[in-house]
Amino acid sequence: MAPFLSRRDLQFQLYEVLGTAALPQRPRFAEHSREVYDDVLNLAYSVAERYFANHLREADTHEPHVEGGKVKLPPQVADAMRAFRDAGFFSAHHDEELGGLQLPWVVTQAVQAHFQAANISTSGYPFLTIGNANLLREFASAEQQAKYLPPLLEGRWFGTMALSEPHAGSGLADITTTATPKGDGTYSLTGTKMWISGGEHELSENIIHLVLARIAGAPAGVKGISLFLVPRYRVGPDGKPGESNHVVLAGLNHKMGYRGTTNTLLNFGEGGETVGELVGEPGQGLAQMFHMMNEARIGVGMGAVMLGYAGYLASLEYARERRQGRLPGNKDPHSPPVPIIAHPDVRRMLLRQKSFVEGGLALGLYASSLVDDLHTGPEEGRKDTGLLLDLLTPIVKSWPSKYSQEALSDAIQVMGGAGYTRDFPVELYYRDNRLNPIHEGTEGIQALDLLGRKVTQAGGRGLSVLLERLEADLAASEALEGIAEIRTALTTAVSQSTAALRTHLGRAAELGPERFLASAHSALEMLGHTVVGWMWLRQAAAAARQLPQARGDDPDFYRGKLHAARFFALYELPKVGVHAELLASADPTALEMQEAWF
Amino acid sequence: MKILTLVRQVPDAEARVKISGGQVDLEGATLVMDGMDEYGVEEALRLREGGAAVEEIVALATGPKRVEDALRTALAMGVDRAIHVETDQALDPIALSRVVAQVAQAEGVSLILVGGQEADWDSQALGAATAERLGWPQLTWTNELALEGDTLTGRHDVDDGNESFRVPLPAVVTTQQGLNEPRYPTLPNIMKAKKKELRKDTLDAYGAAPTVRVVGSDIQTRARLNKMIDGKDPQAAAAELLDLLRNEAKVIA
Repeated sequence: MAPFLSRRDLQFQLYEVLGTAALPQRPRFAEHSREVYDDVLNLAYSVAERYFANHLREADTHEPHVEGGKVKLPPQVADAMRAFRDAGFFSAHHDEELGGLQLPWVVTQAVQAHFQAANISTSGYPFLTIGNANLLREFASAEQQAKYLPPLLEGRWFGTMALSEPHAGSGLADITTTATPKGDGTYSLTGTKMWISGGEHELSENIIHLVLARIAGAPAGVKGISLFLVPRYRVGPDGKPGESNHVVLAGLNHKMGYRGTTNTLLNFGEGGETVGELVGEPGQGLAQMFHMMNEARIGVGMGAVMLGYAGYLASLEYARERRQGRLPGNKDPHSPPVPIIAHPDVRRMLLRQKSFVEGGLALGLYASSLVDDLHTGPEEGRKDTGLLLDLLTPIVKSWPSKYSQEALSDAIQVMGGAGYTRDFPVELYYRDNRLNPIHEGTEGIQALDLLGRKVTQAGGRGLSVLLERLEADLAASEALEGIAEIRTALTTAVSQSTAALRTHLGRAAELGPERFLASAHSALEMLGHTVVGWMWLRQAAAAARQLPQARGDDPDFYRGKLHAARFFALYELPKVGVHAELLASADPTALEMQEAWF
Repeated sequence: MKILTLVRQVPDAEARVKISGGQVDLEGATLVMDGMDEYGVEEALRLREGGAAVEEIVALATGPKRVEDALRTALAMGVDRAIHVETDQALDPIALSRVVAQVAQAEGVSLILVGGQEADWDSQALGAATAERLGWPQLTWTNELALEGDTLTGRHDVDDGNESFRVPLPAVVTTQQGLNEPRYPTLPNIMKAKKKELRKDTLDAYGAAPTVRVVGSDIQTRARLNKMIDGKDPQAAAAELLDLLRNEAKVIA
């Protein structure tokens, strides 16, 4: 079996590109060291390999089903949860007094990457729980935290996020689930929630749903939405799960991929009362949910990266072993066929995958390092870091989701008919990843968020910070050898992007909101490729610095980085110009197309 | 009582190894604690958890600086402290046993656990050589172990069943698959391991020098023959397959 993850690349990204080994200089991480991070990552690899990768196909083939009123999953999922829990991964990034290790977010994401690569659908359960606990940690009252956090951090209870309803997914303003005050500070909830991952299973003693609902009489639109904590089983005074809270499984969704993660339709208040507790202030539900979205969206982007990466590694191994055909010029039919990696077009497809998945990994981990800087970096830079992170988040979420899909298509193509069969995992990764451009805000919504909100936020400061940092990296890499192509192509992409944005923003009033936002997709593509080009410059610069003194396998590793940067510069970055032109002209082709003309 | 567990660092079974200059080149390879030694570490922890009067568990390793990683794993699994005899010299089992025996005596241990064989040098001699030096009994290839007072009972499998043995402590035990299911470290224990003692010794202190040197290594090359058997006549195809397996591949008699 091909490895599901490149440990060498993860080390390169963390220590040689991001300087993660310096984090223990910050007070919050003072107890750590590079050795601690290495040991934690090694543990993640061992647990992921043994308990997650082992049932990748099984969880897909035997998707969750209801048996005797209970959701049935392959038994390996419960073993995986036990191993994840016993190792202490549920609470790793939390404060010491909560039993955590205060691991930096970038290391936490690198840990999670192992589980995403090994088995994305089984990793869904703990990651939803971790996100759920993060939200409670931020907004729940001290009393709620004392009651609900410990079992979530110990991995005894699991969590969900219940936002969508059958008629309201991307348009959350229209949700109708209602919370009626009971007079004792709690609420009675009624309504139906759709697409709730981890909504029902027997993996944990209790499930804590975080539910968006309207308090009876609240105003229409997003301002009337509040956040509620709704346990599957009501929690007694002893802190133990007791009687049913009447959150009823109305059905399971049968999906293309991510099959091992149960995805549910849930009815609240069916056959009895569903009691919930308000989290934070009334009317703050969406704002609170979105506060956590930065981190959740980085998680989705990283999940996409890891699926693409696993597919790349599988097709690479196959290409090295599978023999087929002879090189042009060899007319001897008795000579052995060559491994297909000898064919330039196969190498092109592998290089394209490499440039997408390693570029995406660099981006996801960079964004994660910004989350650390935001909380523990130098005080004076935090505001800028926050604005840069806000700007990058829609790109971090959507770029890998889209380009891992392209990479996985190439992985299947490299493997030919074999890649199209269920004998190899690439078709499964392809199906799994197809969710990523959809959930946690579709690609279209990310584009609107980027152009409509993030680019102009705080007077465009986020964009200025991006350009400052990018130009600093360009300047610092001037004297390095072997990176001319990426420097040149990136410089061009940056000037094209900034000119197009300046033009488009300058015409905002004249264009009106509808036409202004109609170019959002061009803006996302343009900035997405530019930012990933920047990530390739950072990787190429790190490789160029290390290459002269590299030993063992490292020279090949660094030359591979330099070559992939060159590929991205020559084959991908020129696409920025196409989107920049469409944006600068506020091209109205899609806008002007009429429904009747289809 | 004190227990000494020997820890070796070897390439991960999944890792690709290379040969350079007639030697296995470990530069860049993923290195882990030898699986057989993990059984030893785990068994020491289980003896203590099972109620035996184990005062201390010490892990010992020899080798270059990177071997610390394997010792840290042992510490994170629960071993109390570690001794690293740091050297870039590769020790043959007889030379290594000199180090193990001296540490055992200096530390006053009464049980030594060591892998029955190692993934890096499959001589299977270390346990026996150490027992011989110390004049202690040894239980070999153990896949079940129990301690009552100062008496150790061990069982190992033989071709058609198993045998059990009893020895008084002090003793050497060599481990093998089936003895237990080694635990993984936990995150809190990884942090605790950072604070545990990892003592550094030099090889000079033990007067051990290798007398056997590796002078050449080759990796077996494998090639696929891509032989296709015509399946139109199943009987003939089966006969041809049998012939190939018997006479060409020589994997059946």
